[in-house]
Amino acid sequence: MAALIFTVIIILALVVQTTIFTAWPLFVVVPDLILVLVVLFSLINGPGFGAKFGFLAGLGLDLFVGEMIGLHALTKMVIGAAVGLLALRFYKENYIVPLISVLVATLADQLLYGLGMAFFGVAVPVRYLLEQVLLPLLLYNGILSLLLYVRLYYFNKRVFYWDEIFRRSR
Amino acid sequence: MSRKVRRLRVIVILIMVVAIAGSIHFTSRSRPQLTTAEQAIRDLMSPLQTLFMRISQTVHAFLNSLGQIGSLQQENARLKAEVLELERQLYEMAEYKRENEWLREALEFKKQESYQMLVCEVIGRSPTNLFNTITINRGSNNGVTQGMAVMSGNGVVGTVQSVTATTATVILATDARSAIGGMVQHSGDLVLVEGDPEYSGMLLAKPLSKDVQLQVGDVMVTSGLSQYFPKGLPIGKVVEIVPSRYHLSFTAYIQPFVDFSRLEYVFILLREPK
Repeated sequence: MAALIFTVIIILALVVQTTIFTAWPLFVVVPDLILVLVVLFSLINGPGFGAKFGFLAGLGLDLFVGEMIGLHALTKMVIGAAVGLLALRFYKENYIVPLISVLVATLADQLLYGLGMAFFGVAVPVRYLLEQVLLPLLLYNGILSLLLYVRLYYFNKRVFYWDEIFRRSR
Repeated sequence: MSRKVRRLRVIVILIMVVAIAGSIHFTSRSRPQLTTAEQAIRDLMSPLQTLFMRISQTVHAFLNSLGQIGSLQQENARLKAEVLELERQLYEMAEYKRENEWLREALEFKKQESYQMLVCEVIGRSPTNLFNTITINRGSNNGVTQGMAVMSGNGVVGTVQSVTATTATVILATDARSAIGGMVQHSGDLVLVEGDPEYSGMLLAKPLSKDVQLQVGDVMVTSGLSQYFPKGLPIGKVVEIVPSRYHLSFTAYIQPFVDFSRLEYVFILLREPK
């Protein structure tokens, strides 16, 4: 049941990212809700979960974009696993760790995706990414992490609680 | 963990890495068709996207209208005057059209293709900042195919990049991968209109011969040389001309007529059967 709920979350996040986040002129660039979810759930649940969730969410994003299918899956999986591993070493019941994790992950995601594009022979608009995308993206992703972390923390707890009850009842 | 299990795990990981690398490589260039997985996910998501997009646009329009109540009356009067002027121009154009058809017939010119306009709602946009695409709620069920021209009331929007049964993805003219045959309206000189690789929101016009003459303020229209774009659709206005290193050629920056950030409805030009 937990797997089903997390799949629905990925689908909803993809829909929000392609509609609300892109239709409002308030956003200069598109916030990366998928990345924020990958980082926050990896912080809460650890590296194994982070890698699987990152891969699935990235693959969903890839299928929507329709370009270089697998590159987002790969970068998000690496980020999910790395954040999950780091989370084992940090006390994460505060706002600082999720915020810094999301900011560093945003930089890492852009870098890894850009390197992937270059590796597969696709031109990377470096100046555009550095001058126009990076700062607003860091700002939006940072705000999203602050708004979502505590809610996701308790939501995640409840999902696994229901999952346990569902499993025992079978 | 036994040695056998560990070896099996390594093999599975290797196969996955090769499969992902193959998939990235295969989908990093333009394809004639989407994979079944992509078609399925896009068709399944399109009702949800339509719903979310409509809610988002309604809320946005409501908030916008709150701030504009004072100026609405003034704008209404201005628009009424504009409608009268446009109606007058329409009568004039109809007269020119009739005259043009008569003259073409007299000169035995090839009859121009006629197109039907298919109204489409924008239900999504690219979820990343690297690609300028929109998703619309019409697909192969409505006769849409890859490469078709997409317009808005103001001018050229882009071309259909991929199609599923109920949706289509449109690559906007501002995307770095877009290329449209253009023409300088006043001289008829041919250029290639591309999206700026640095995503400035401008279009770049590159001359197709060394004799092309351009000036700031020139209007660029479609050349009609491709099978999908009819001749004369407005693209944009030249705002800057940058000569090449040895002044042998130039690149012109074009401000598109379409506001790509505010697309709600677009038209696809379907060719009418002869």
